[in-house]
Amino acid sequence: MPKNNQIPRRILASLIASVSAGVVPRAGAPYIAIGRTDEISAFLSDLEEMSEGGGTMRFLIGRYGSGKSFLMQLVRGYALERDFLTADCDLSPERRLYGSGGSGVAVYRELMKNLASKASPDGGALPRIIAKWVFDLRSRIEADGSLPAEVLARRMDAAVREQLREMEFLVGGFDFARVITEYFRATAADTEDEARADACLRWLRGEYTTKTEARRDLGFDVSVIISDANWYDFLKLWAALSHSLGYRGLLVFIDECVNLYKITHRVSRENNYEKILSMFNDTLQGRAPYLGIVFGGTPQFLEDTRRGLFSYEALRSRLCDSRFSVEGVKNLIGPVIRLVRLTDEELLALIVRVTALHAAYYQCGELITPEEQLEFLKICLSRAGADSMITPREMLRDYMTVLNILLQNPDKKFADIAGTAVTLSHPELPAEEQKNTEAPGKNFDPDEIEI
Amino acid sequence: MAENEKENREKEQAEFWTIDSLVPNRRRPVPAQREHTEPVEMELEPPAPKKDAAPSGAERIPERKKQDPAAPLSEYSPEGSLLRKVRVFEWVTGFNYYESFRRDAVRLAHLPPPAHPPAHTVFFSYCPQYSQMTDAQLTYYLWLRAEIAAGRFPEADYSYILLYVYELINLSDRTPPRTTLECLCAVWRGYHKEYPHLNVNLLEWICDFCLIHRFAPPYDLLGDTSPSELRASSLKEFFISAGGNEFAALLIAYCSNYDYRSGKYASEENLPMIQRCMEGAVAAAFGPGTGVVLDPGLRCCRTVRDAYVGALCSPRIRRRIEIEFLSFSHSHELRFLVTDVMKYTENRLRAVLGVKSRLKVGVLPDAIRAAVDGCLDREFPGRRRAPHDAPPEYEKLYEPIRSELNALSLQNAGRIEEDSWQTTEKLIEAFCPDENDDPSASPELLPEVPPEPVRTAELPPAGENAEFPADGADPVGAELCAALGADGLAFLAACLREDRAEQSRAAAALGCTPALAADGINEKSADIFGDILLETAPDGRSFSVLADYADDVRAWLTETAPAASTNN
Repeated sequence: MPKNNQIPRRILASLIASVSAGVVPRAGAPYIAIGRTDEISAFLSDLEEMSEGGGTMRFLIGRYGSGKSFLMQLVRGYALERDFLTADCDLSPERRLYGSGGSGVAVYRELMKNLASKASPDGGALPRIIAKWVFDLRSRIEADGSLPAEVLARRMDAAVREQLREMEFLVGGFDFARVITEYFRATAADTEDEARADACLRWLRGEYTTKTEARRDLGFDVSVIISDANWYDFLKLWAALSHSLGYRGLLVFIDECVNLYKITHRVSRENNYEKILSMFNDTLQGRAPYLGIVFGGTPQFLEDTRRGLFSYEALRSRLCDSRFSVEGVKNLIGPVIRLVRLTDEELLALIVRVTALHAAYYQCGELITPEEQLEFLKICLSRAGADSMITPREMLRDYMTVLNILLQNPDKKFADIAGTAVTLSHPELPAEEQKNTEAPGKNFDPDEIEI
Repeated sequence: MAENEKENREKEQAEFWTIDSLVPNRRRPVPAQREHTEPVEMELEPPAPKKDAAPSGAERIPERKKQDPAAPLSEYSPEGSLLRKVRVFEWVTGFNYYESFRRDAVRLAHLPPPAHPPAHTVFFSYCPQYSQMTDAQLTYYLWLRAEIAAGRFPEADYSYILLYVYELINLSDRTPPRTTLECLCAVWRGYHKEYPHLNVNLLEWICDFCLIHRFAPPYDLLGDTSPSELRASSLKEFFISAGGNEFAALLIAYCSNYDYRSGKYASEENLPMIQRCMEGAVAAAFGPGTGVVLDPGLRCCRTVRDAYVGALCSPRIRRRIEIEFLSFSHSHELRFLVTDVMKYTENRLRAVLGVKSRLKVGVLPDAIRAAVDGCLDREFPGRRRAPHDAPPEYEKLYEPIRSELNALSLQNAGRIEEDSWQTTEKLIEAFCPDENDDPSASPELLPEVPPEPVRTAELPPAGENAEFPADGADPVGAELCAALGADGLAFLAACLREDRAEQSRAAAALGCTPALAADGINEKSADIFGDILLETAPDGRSFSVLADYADDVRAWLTETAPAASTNN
């Protein structure tokens, strides 16, 4: 039990709703973090390294339903609390790391849309973090006392340019710094220009498709726009800028990487893998300070030697296990974290936890006894194929259904609800008991239907 | 003067488009003289009633003579056929068409052919008859008739061939039936490739002739007949013998929606192999052991057909035939099943040929699928499908750790759950000041207060209900209000009221924009009790308190800052 025993109501509501729906909770994930101690510790050490100016990259690999997205949300929430900026994106056939027709910059746009900070944990933090940074600068300038408007504007301008000067040496940095400076000027109280501020934000979000359009809206010349070819360079700029803005770094989550594995065209697929290699080299060689990237994918995405990352020799040599690796022994220092489904006892612990959270939210007390919780888990694990196919998501969804039914029907008992679930034959049950657990449809009599 | 000119000019311009003066005068139409049309009463004498007239004066329709149902001329059940029963009736009609043609046919039947082959004479008619022919045409026809009877098939116009067929049909009562059948089949054999339309009409007439005279399908006389040539027949079931090795080929030909011969990969080189495999697969699919019973699967239908439709035929030769048979075309389920079997076989063959594209196949019963696979595996023994069940080696790294169900322990699970709270604490704590932090690096939007972890919802001990603290002694509210200060509380109160103007004033008092003020409050609340308080209002320009915490904020403001409390 935590020392405070209290959970914010909104977070609890969101958590209960997410678990009931079978989706990864965006908020409140730490409250159902069972197990995964080593994996979480590995990520936390990565964050420490990022905050000191380093870069990190991790591949979170696991089967569907093994908990990749959940672990990402856990780390994301922790990073936000620790004053990191986060951005997340799910790849899809329309969003790739490398592609033409806007599929590459679509990843960047999604990341910028989901850019989050502690004060804006749900995304859309881009204008806020710049505004906060400007406020911080102004507060520093006026630390000794307020200044006349003209003097303040001049000193603010100089301070902004000074802070952004180090960006200009990075690829695309000059235009990046120029646009941010113009955005600051457009949002200054005395020279407020909403149209130009919007145009600057659009440029920073990568929403311009042509330079002509960008120049027309911005009112000044830019030599580049954020496009398929250079979006990753601007991501590195944001990571560097995040530190200047007072944050500890930028942590990027890219999930559903199996969509890269599914690219049928070999050259296109390898171009995407080349992009991953470039990111890997930058982060681990110190060329992308304050940037952390986490890729989430399935085992096929990583280890398939025909189409996965291991089909690309440069990545395979960097990511594959050492010949000294021992099967069954964890090694979380390397870039690859392999996630195995929670053990059966961890699943039971999860059920216990969810029961307590449900009771706290609805203020109803625990509706299912510990023995019944154990019975429920046994029912789930007894299903045919459960040993390899069952996921915490499905199990929790079913469990929440049972809890909600019991909550709304106080006269019902757990045995009434769980006992009517269709189960296949239990290999450990004797033959007589197997007959009693047969699906009700086996001896179905149409005459028994009541209309 | 100038004004007059100006006026004249304006008038001229105005009247420029007036064309009435240019159009010639029309005569006014003179209305027609109206006739006097008032009704006048007249008296007429009614006509004399007829003998059989109805009392009302209308003419009675003569009653139709009731006809006794005619007994069939013959009735039989063919053996080894999909036809169950055949009944032949006389063709009743009150008309006597083409009797003269038959008389001419009788008269010309024994005319000898010319001694020397005559020169070819073109003859064309949509309905060829002897009366339409010239002497030269008739001479050529007699020679042609003799040649065909001798088994030779010289070049002939289509009309000559039709005329000969009509002659055979109309003289069928004067010639041994077997002889007539042999001649009809000979005509088809000799000329159906040159005149494909014979597949449509002559095969029908041969079918009728055989039904009338109780002949089995004349495979021996028709020669090498492919099922596709029989496709145009309206009674394909006549040409099919149930059972036998040809059954699969006939199922493929007549009981399928898919024609493998027209497939993209059915080249000349592959076609024999595809045909062999297809027939073998269908035969295996509907053989013993698959559980598919064909006989009941074919639907029994009844049809009535007039013999020799389209032919120039005397009424005394024409017949009406009633047939009960097992139909392919009405057996939809069987048709779909055969189609799926063929497509599945095609997919397997495409895999053998290295073609990647596949046809869409419906749900095939496992027994049929296994039978087809077995047949094709015998055909291609070396090409076995890769076993899909073998997982790759790396999957072992992701296998879950299983425990015996009976070994699950509530105590162990409880210990894991208890230990996990430490992870939770590590993840949610964000308020412990880091020793590396420079307090002057980022000035706080709001005054900093040493945070204490006070939350708003409490996890209940087992069996007890949780209560949200709502009384005035809420430490969370007190701490938050102390952290925000008066200006922050004023902004918070304005957010509770969703008063945009008040929010702007309160933010100005804080020396920042409303967005920054909201961010500051959210950061403080996240530090103090782990969640944000404010969100962007629906208008997108102001801020509001999250609905989950509105009551709490109202209570805090009332308790800790009465001056900033809301007016409910």
